[in-house]
Amino acid sequence: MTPTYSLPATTDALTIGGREFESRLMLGTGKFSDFGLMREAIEASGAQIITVAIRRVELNAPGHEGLLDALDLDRLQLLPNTAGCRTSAEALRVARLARALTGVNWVKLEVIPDPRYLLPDSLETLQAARLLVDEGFIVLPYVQPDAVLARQLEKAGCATVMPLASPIGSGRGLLARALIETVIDGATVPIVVDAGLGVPSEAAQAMEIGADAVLVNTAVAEAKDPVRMAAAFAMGVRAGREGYLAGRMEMRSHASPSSPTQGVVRLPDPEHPEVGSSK
Amino acid sequence: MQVNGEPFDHTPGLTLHALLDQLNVKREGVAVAVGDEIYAGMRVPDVELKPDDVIDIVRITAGG
Repeated sequence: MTPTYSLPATTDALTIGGREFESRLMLGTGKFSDFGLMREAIEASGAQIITVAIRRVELNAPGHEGLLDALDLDRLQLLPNTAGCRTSAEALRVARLARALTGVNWVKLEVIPDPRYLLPDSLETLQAARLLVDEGFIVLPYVQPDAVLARQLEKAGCATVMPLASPIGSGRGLLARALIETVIDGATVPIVVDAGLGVPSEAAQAMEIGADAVLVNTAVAEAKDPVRMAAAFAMGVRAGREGYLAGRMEMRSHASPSSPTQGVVRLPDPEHPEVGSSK
Repeated sequence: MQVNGEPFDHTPGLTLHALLDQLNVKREGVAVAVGDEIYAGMRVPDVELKPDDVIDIVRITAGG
């Protein structure tokens, strides 16, 4: 028998900034013990969008670490971030430096004044997003899961909205699930769940509730076997996306038997002597 | 003058090229901001620097 459905080799395409992607998993390059491991993890994840950070060079140092050399830039979309920026002015400066440095006009916009929970500043983020869009950037803002803010960012011309699942690097999972659902509901750009995911099932859940993609870094880089975890996240994202497209069942408050209720074999019940009744 | 967040002694006539050479900064793989002007490392102009310039020289690094 020919199966009526077989899993396609790749997920349905994700379009961001006019470019199509076959993977709905994005990977950060931070915290890997070496570039070799990072490269293997990228490969295993199937991710096509890869974040990097911008930092000041060490003055009078002999050379630079060759991160760009370790990345296959023909195949990967580089996504420089503005991590570490506390104000929109700092984020604008870093985004412009990133564009000059890489030739890439994509930016993961992060404006984070709070080092304890690394929660983004919504007002500064929106302000920076508007200016960066005006300057021709493809802007992917990292934000709190706030549906009102998300709609404003869409209106400002952002390419995606990236709500956090829980604090960056915490591995606490989809704590903000209910709020992320409100961001997804009515979204007109891809919603990328970013930050806080710890295990593949959480990525699957994010995709099941309708997220268009997820971004992970620490969950992979700090796994005992980062390459294996990268592959596991790819499967989680894939399973979640397929589950979303398949359309979940309605939830009920009570049980509903999966086997027929007619014709059940019963022994006589002394309190109800209708012998052998299956009803 | 400030370079990468640190005070830097400005000497009259100092140019951007001279500064980068003095700091042993390779042009490849960096970008430079002088005030609000942003340049790719390979296209840094040899402009004369002013005593109140705020300069950042950056590179790509790993990050999430």
